[in-house]
Amino acid sequence: MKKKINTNTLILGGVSLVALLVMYLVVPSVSSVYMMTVLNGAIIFYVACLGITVMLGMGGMVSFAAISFMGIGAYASANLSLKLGVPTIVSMLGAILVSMLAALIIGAVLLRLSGTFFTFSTVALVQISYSIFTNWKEVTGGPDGMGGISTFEFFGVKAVKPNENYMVLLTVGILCALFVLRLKKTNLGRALSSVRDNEIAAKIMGVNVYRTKLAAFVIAAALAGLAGSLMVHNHHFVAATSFTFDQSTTFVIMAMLGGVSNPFGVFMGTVLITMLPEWLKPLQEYIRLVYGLGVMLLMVFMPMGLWGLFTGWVKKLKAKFKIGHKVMIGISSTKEG
Amino acid sequence: MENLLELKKVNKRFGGVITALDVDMTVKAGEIHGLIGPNGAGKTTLLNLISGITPVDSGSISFAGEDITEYPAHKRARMGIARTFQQPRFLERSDIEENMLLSNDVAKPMHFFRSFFSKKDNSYIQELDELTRVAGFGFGLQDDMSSLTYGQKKLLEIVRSMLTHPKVILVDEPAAGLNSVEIENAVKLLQIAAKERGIGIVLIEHAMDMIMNVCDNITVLNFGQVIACGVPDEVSANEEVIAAYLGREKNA
Amino acid sequence: MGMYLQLLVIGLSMGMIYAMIAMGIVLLIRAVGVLNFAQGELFMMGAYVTFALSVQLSMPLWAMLIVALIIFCLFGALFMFSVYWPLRKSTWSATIIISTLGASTVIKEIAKIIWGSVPVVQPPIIKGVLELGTVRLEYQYLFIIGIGLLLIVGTFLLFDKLYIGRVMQAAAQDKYSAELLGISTVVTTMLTYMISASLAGIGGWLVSPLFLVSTSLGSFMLKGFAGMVIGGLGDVKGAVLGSLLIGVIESFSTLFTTTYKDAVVFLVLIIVLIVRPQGFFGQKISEKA
Repeated sequence: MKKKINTNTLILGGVSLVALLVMYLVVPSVSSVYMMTVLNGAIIFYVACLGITVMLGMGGMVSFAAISFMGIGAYASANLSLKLGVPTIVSMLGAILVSMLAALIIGAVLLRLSGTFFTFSTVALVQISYSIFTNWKEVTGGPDGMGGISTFEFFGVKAVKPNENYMVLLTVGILCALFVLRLKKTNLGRALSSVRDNEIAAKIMGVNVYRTKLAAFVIAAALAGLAGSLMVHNHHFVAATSFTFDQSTTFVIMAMLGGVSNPFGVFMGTVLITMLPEWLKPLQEYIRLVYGLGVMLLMVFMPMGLWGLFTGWVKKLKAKFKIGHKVMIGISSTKEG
Repeated sequence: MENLLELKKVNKRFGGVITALDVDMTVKAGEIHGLIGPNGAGKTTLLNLISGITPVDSGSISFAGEDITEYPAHKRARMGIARTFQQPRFLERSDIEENMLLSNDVAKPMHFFRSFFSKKDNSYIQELDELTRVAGFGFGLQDDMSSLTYGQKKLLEIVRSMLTHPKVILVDEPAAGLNSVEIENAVKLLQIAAKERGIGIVLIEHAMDMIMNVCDNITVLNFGQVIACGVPDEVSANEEVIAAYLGREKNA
Repeated sequence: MGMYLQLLVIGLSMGMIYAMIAMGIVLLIRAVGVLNFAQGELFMMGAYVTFALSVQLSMPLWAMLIVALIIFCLFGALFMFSVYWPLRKSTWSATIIISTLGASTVIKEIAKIIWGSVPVVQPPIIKGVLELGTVRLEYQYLFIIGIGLLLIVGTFLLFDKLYIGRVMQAAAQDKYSAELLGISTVVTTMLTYMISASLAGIGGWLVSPLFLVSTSLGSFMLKGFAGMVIGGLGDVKGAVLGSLLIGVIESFSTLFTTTYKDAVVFLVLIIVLIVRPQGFFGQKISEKA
């Protein structure tokens, strides 16, 4: 066994510092108000898409349920802050809790199905939730939606302009990304990977497959619920039309485009899909066609998304320059040492 | 010595095919128990029944004095029943380290929140290193699973099962597809497990010389039924066994 | 009494439509093991293609049917070679599912580009309303039941009784042995895709006079899926019976609620999943260790 000096951490730290500086200082100062609004929307979607990283990237389960829980979180927040007037932080936590509870009950049923049948049952769920969101006027405001929801306010400081909202959203987004990154390194994360790769091997390794899947489902719902809460406080408005099946497929596409197994990849995908309509204004009519074709090509040529491409490239670089620490196990280490 | 693993009148059929018929078998701590029989005799099925991947139709399985017949597979694994497969099963899309950490999770179960906030547990590395040396190869911990050869994966699967600190290991055809040096190392690993650590081992194998050399006891299956059970010499002298299995091997 | 009869007939005819979608999905699951998310869009294309042929090109019924069937088969083949074939060796089943999802978007958008997003009207094949006392039924419903029955029985016979059907099943169950026996799995898989696309397409043609022809017809797939799951996962007979049940439940639920009509159907689906996860006709399939 031998450890080399860890240059990895150094490089990683430097890159993240620069990225943070750019995101917190450079982006808001160079972007127009309109651009900030677009970016804010992207970050909200990003938080929901992180749930797909947990479900699909880590657990190998294709789920469209994100949009349902985003809706549940959104209406929970809307009701909490409109009818009870609770502070933002309580409203956000409330949204997370309500969607987790809903996910626990719904997931307990749906996860009895395996593979593609589970996937389709989540589609059914999206239809049911959409129908409820549109018709349950007392709680959702029906097709007209609910307006006048308070903006972000923490400890007496109010976010008013889009770039102030951006600071809040960015911070929440980064925290969520860090959470998911860390989740991968926990026993639950490993159990999820084992369920994805081979359910029988997972059982033999002492993994309770059903409970592991359920945990992932609930965590994904918490992220989606939080995204819903962020949405109502950012837009001050919520309507059922935001929670359609089409939006849900867009989430999956965002996650897959960037690389579903990694929060950075999902970030790339979310930003790309949100900015594409801005960059391709003249092609507006064909934009969804482009998505569809893009997804089909992506699945054939790089199922791991853009991030997969990038990590492959980094791996090669690392091997070439022998960067990074490596723990050697077994016979060959004696030869080297 | 008390019986670690005990099967009583275990039955299993798939449709019309009987794969286990009133099977009785006992495995003691530190014993290497061979499980042999012609192809389709129901050996792998029996391992699936013991590890809980398939439920029994009737009969009982007890382990360390507890009736585990109704327990799900993951619970049995956590109680100390480890297992390897004919085709090694790893997380192929993760690196070796993650695979080994997964077995560490079985050895040292931890609450999710503690796992979330604690540093990476590296305590298993020393043991992994020692066992891998016995297995006769080496690797970088952060290498991809695909960097290992088929034989190395099969050996690593035995190593992994030992890392979970089980009481019993069910080993399914460890020698198949391995070269002679690798087979020797596999035997060494199994002997360390049984003799030094007192783990009970159920060993399915077609390589008869390996079975005859390493096994303390042998159970012979044919069409899901136990036709003989005893020490290697007894079994190899048994008429029925020779007729059903050994005879055919010798003629072949 | 008359109202119940009316609801029953409407329910059964909608059930037939769902059954045609569900059967197509089941056939593909059995042949290639993939859930096709674009089945609803193939269904929608059926409505648009027949609209284009009979209204825009004013073809007579017989010519329209022949041309439409050829187009459906071409769709099936094209679909197989663009969505399934490049990914058949993929180790990650999620990639194919998501690819079919991409395909469904592509088909929907192409339809929008060709026919616009304003719904169009398809005249019924048989005009008029049947009146029996208090019962009022468009003939189209009866027509759907007739054609649907014919197609479903036909598909059964094809797969159970005819040689080609059995070959296709054999190839679906064991690709390797089938290749050894000289059965081309490419051809059998392609045939399955063609039949599946045709079933969906004809379903779209049958239903379009009752609704407007629009891209939202794709959502019919969800009901077909509900029927398939209720009937039993991956079982053709179950898919048909489950779909009929869904049609009838949906139709009778309008007695109590119109706003939550869709939710009722999917609620039934979820209840069935709780009580009997393998469906009414399915057997538990266990993975081989």
